[in-house]
Amino acid sequence: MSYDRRIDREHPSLVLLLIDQSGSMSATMGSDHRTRAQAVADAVNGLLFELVLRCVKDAEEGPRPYYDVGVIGYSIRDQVGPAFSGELEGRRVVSSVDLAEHPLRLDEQTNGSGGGVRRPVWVEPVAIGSTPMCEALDLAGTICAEWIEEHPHSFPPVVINMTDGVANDGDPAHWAERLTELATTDGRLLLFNASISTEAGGTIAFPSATDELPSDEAKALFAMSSELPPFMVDAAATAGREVREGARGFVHNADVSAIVSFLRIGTATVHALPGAGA
Amino acid sequence: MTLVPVVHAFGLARTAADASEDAYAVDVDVARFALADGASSAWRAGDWAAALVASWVSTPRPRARGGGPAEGFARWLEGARKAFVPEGAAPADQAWFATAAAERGAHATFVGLELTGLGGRRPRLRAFAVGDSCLLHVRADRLELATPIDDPAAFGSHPQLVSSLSGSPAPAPVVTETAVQADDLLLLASDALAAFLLRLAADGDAVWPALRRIDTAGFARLAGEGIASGLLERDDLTLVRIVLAPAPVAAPGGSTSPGGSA
Repeated sequence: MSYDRRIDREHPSLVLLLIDQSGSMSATMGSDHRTRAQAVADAVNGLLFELVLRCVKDAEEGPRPYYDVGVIGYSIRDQVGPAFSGELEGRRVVSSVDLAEHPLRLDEQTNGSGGGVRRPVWVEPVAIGSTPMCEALDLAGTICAEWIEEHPHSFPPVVINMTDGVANDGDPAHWAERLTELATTDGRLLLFNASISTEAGGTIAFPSATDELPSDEAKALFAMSSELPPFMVDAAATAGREVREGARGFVHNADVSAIVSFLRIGTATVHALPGAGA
Repeated sequence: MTLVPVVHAFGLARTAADASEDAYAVDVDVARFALADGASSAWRAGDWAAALVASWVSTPRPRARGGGPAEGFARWLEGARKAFVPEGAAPADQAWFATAAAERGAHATFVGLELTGLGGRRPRLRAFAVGDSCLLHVRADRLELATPIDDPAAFGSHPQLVSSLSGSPAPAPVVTETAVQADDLLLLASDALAAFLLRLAADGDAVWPALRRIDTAGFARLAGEGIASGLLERDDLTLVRIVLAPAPVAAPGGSTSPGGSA
């Protein structure tokens, strides 16, 4: 239970993202002018892009199957499920090879030097309905339990939940506790939570105690969140975050940059690239 | 007294499925040695590690054109980068992920060693290190220095890396210079192995005399026992052993491959 298993073809890693797609996600994110749903979709697509690139060793070979990835959207009760569009629609878990081969589309963007670059999109923004978080955590448990049966010696699954509200289908603490009881021989499943910005300023990233948090809702999400393994603490420090001993994978009132940083630190690997994996 | 570097190298890949992404190179004639460790999640990491060490042993001393060691290192690195990815080499029709990975570049940790004055009265070593690939200098079975990291607890998961991207800022190497003498043992070791050896030494194990004698089978046995004990991380493992032997007559001819096994 040491969280030191490196990812390779024999021991892939599972990253499962849970996205709140409730109606309130249509609100804008302060000065960023994007909706919360758009900002989260952009961050998720950026993360998936990053995960694919970690698997590309050379141009001829194509990506290696180092990662299994799932994206679950939750907004309507009894309809919680995969958020992929296009060729991957309906699939709970896909490999990094599938991601590389089947983006929904490639958007043309401008890079820092004015040139054109192609950036893949897999997930579209959605903002409708309510917040059935318990159902999403339950589904995550099913997906992760099945995955662990097939990969008992891999790095444990990392589940990242992003929400701008509170569950309206029960107490998510119960489902989070069940989820984090799952484990591989390398460690317990890691559940990280991000509360999306509902007010300007006041982002609190990777707290280590509830007295740093301003509300009962924030304290509840903190309590549901796993402690960061040491190498993720290292990754957070490399990314310029002040992280104390006992820090948990939780960010309160996350703005756009905090979401991106949170996703990267939460999916850091034992050995990662600066600015890429951490 | 003339000193001759007697070199052996040993290596083990982390898994049977994938080739090691460590690389080393040796040129005894010019007394230059290097080890690099390709970042495991990077594009062409093993290729870049190999290109770095090959460039190091085939390039004249970094200070040859003036400036301090760091400036010389930066000049050398830029040349290695340009040789690694010739301009216009990427085909226009390659997949989006191949283009994006190439844009990000390859990354590796690196330690380069040069020995000077081996035929004179003041032989010296100079090492340039970026990240956590290490040089260990042992004299009379005592560790004289370990650079750039000398504490086994200080090896982290995010070492500084050398990027292959031409024009990107060159990392500042840790530069170490010191005198050497006959029978000194110099070890270039990739990160997990260096941390393991430093830990054994700190625990009082007689690791340095054992390494003087170790052969390929012994290296595999040491690594296997280390991994089984939990003291050695399962990683690509590479060790370059250099013993500075007094030359009885004249120095033998050099070679770009060590007289050992890898």
